[in-house]
Amino acid sequence: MSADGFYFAFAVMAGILDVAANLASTKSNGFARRGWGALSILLVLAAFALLAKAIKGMELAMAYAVLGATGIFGTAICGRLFFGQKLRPVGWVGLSLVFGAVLVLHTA
Amino acid sequence: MRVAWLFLVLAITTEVAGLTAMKAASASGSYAGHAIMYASIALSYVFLAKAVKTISVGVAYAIWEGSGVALITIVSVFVFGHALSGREMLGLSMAVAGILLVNAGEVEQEEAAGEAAR
Repeated sequence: MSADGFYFAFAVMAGILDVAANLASTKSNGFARRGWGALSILLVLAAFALLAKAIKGMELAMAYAVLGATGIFGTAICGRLFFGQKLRPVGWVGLSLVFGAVLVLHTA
Repeated sequence: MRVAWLFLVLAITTEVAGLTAMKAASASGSYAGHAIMYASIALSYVFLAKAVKTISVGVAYAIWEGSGVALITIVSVFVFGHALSGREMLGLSMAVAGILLVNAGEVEQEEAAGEAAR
């Protein structure tokens, strides 16, 4: 794997950990289940640590775009799969716009 | 429901504080800055956990992410005296429009349960 691909993988991993953190956070039922709550915080801190690694070898804007795409769409898809939280089509358009905003603002 | 939105606002505020600390820390390379960043992010997730008790997690996260990047841009305008470019204005409008649409697209939990029962 090339060096660039290596850092790209870090950014994708950070996004995946972010999604996992969101799912654990939902599972914690507002921190009533402490274990799930603690796990979600550990996961998000790990995600940030990986992001910090990724930006040593790639543009911050690029890393955020990858993280945003994985995080935003991954969380919505997993929320639907695991918790049955549906989103109307207009909501998916909204998700794409938010992702577009992340992309535009981080590369501005 | 209202309380959940208050928690989401708190989650976004602590996130922005954390990312501002990261920006400052990456400039100075201080350990204190990084410590503040990780503490703010952890606190932000405690609030996020409270918010997603009633708000769909996909909706809450998209709003958290979108407001975060929009607010950081606004902070850079008001705190660091940065002038908004046309591109940034476009990005801010996209963030606002996206958040409104995500909100409009959320299927309420009771409604979803009703649909499933049908």
